[in-house]
Amino acid sequence: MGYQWGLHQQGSAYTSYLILTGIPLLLALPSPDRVDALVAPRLSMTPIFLIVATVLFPVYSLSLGLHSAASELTRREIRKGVCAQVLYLCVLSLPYWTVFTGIVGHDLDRLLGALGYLGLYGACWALVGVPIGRRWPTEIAQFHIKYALLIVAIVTTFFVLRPLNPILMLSLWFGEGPVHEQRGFLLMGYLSLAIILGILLWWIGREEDRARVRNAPR
Amino acid sequence: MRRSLRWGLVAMALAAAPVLAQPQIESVELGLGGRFLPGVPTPVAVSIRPGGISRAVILEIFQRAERGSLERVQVPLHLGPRTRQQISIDFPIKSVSAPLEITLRDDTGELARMTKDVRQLWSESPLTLGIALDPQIPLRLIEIDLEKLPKRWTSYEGVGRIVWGRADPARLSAEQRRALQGWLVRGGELIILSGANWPEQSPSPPWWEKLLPITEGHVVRRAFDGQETFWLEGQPRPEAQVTHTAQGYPLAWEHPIGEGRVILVASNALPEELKLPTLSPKRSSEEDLLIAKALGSMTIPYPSRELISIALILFVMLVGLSGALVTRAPRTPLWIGVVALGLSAGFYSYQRSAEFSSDTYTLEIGVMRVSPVLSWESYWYGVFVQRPHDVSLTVSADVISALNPGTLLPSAEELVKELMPGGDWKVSFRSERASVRFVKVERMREPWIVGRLEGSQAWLSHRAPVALQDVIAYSGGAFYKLGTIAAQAELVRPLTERISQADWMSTLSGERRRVWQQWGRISSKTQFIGWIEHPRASPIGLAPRERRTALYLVIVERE
Repeated sequence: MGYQWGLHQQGSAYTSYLILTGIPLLLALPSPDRVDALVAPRLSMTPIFLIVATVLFPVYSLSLGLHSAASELTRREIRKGVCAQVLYLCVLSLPYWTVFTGIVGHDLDRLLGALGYLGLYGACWALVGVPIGRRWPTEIAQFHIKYALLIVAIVTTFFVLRPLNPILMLSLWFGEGPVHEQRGFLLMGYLSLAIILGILLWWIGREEDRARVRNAPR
Repeated sequence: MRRSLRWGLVAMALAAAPVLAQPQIESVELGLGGRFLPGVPTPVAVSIRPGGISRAVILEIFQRAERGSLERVQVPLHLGPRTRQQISIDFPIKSVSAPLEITLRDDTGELARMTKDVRQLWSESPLTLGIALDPQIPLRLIEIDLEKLPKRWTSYEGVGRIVWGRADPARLSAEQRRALQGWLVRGGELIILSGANWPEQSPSPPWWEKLLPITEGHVVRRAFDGQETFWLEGQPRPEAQVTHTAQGYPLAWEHPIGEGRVILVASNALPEELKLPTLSPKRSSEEDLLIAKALGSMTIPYPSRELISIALILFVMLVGLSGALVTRAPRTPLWIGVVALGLSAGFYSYQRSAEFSSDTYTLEIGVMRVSPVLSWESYWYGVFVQRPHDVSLTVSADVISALNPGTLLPSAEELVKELMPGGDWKVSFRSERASVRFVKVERMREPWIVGRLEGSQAWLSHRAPVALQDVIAYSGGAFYKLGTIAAQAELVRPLTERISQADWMSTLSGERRRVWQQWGRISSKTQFIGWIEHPRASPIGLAPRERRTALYLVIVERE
């Protein structure tokens, strides 16, 4: 199964994601302290973990897509593979998010809601990485395109198309306000991602059909 | 013309019907004699005219402060179709510039509203009430009818002094009597002008007799300054003292009652020699500081830090190792995924456990002064909220007030007090992450522990549902160790284990010593001293996911 979905090829990516997000999580773990010290204003590592883990997730997802594009597999297999790899990244980071949910004092529903969004968001970026990897096979070009796209997407969505901003969405899930008041906003985020994911899956599949038609013996 | 008039009247009646069917707030009376002291509970009497139908409504009293309403009192009511309702409740008016707002609402929304301007009604100093005074005395006071004296001790919070004239104490109802006793115990000053008023004041009921500094009181005629006056004479009680004399005769006696005192004047006029101290609002900030200091020094445990850190590090190492193993064992990612899911499930269930998931850590300090007449209990409750959530407490008390002790800034969110059907209060507030909140609660109830010292033996009957620990008897200037008395038990023990006060103090823990230094007081009335460390003795019910540390000082006094 590991071979089939290419999970075995991405071991270092998973490990580095876990190390980079694990450090702020360990720092965010509360330690025994006096009440007067706890009440005093101080730098909290909790939002830092949230931001690091949220920003790095699409970065690693896009890398998974770029890496998969270089494989000999068909596009349909790649499509399936990158989705599995993103899901695997979600599963691996689940203990972190569970601990984080405990620190901020939320329930399972918020954890699942946030992780579901992050999974969809990562899957979109992983699928975006496939055509980029095919079109620009050099590592330096991929590097520039990857970070340019991610920075533009994350910064832009702070102002427009806000439901597509993962930091805003996860802050909402793990924030202190009631989630039900933002139901419309959340629904729009999930629907938008589902539509984008559907389009990307259809488009990558169609590209393969076209290639097959082109390569078919006349 | 007549038809138009008729139709006009019908139209007006139809238009007025919904308005008339709505309940109305008819009037609001504030304070005692229309005056109040800011910052302390003030009686608010609301008269409600019901609408045409019976319905359940909520009467709400609040004041808008600069940063929203800080305290809100809600009283659920059932309005009958016809009966007019009079509701009296004590509400602390904290701002003299913002009007008091009274609303009546039900599920559909607001039904009636009234605002009461308080700017002209407040007093800078505690009120002095005068009851049936003749002749007039040189004090700025509010004359009040005996029948209008409060029925709750909490309504007396703004009153510093009562001057009692030609009024029969037997006319007080049982509720009024208990309220007056409660006020006295908490530091009230009752001045009884007797002399010519004595026939009206006597024969008095036994509870009033016990307040008086003298026994066998009788009036004699005596000439003073060339005028014949009625003069009270009697035998002073052992704990009372003569404070003033005139021409060799006692003019005024003083009798301490709890924190308060009763001054009995032999004539019906307030003598010039009797210098009454200027009343000033009670400042209990030192008492309030103790809870803030104690809560501030409390350590919040987090036992999971090392455990979680080690588990996460091992997990990352396993994931790293799996990358090397995956070429040999292709199913490795599947097993790592299973491990991740198992670890998450383990973390999730562990985070539900008490040591990890306590949302609130609370500290409660209390002092219970139990006399044969009543038990006056004060509690200081400090709460540290680890995670933001709505805190809801059930409180069985007479007064609940939010505190701002100064050292630790409490959360500024609104405090809502809702009166529940059984007479208890539901106190709710929203708390932010890593914030504190302080509440002071007071109540008076029937004595729950009775004791006496007979010769060299102590007898105690303890009816509380928790043990009374490390009890000490105080007799003849000496301390005797009695040990712990189990819940709802009686104890008869000889006074053999004598201990000096210094030795006893050295046996106290740091917290107990701080509480004793703040509230502990040895007087001639002190009989027993003990400690309770169980939150079941508290008037504040335990909230879910709350971890409470409780310490109460119990002082049992003789009559």
